[in-house]
Amino acid sequence: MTEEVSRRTCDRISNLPINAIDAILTRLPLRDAVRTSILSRKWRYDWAKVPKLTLDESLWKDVSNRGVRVKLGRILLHLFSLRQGPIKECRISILKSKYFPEVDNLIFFLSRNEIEYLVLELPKGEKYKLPSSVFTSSKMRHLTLEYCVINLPTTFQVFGKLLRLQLFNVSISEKHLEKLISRCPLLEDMELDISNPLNYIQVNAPNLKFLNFGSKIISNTPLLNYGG
Amino acid sequence: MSSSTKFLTLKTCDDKKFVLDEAIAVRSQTIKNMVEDDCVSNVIPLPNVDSKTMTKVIEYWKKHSEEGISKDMLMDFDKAFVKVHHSILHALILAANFLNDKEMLDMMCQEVVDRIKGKTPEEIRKEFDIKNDFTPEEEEEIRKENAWAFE
Repeated sequence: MTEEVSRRTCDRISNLPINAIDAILTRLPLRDAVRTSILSRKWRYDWAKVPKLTLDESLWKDVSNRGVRVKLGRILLHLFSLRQGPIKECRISILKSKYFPEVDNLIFFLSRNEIEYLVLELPKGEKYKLPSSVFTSSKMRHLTLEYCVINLPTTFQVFGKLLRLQLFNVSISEKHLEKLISRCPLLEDMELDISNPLNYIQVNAPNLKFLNFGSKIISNTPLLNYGG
Repeated sequence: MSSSTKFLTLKTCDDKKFVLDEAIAVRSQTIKNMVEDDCVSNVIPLPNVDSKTMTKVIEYWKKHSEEGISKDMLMDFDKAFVKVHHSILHALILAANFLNDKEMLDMMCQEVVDRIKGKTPEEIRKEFDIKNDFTPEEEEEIRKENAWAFE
């Protein structure tokens, strides 16, 4: 009986294996995850080691458009000082306000922290100029960008591991788009919704299996080489 | 369909045996690997799982292998399945982790998440019997360290 009682009142959740703790913390909204720091010593820095980061609408819902930037700045300062280990996945969704130099800092930080999976959802209107640091992320496997302007830096070499590229309402010149695609040798899946007019582009992607180019969908094509 | 259903015998750490249809048991990637590598003799030992937990796991596997069961019925089953004391939740997470059943592991972790989300630290400690081992000064420091999350 006493054994049963002690079994039931003993803290077990705190001693789960690290992959289960990670699975729990990554599913929590960032605010709730950070708040686990105060539960007990065991929990204090667990949130800071989770390899996945989501900065989404749940963080800005009670904040005025003007306040978003201030809050983002505070959150980033906090993350930059306490985070430990790589951040492999990150989704940034800020649909409220306009221009954020803070996002540049975050992308720079991610590019130095082994980012593999990046989703950037930004507001309509004036497009965000993508910082060049994003193109130094050699481990990138998945890249989704919305409402951005892409200007490939001359130093861009290759996205050697990129499998999936999604560009929605993105501005990019024909030349830069061709260059970007041809430097993703493993690319399998590409969705393009380019907001500036494109006349002619050559898609050099030997591993492409799925292409959504505006309304046209072609799938399971082992080799797509338009106009070649 | 194969005429002879193959059965496996699983032995938990408290020496209880469970005879189970192989097609169901291979929901565990760990067991599946053993079957595929042909290292299954008569009995598969599960040194990290007790019989009480294994009974629950098998209940879940059988329900999820039922033919013709509707999505709604499974959802109702899952909802009821996770409503257990945290000590059982913990045992099921460990079992799902050892058996490498990702679907079940995800579901159990999601339940922990649902019990944490939106709650105060005090409510979470109560839910999981977590002992607050911080001094008031340390607690104050943590609130300062993570100020934006405690406003």
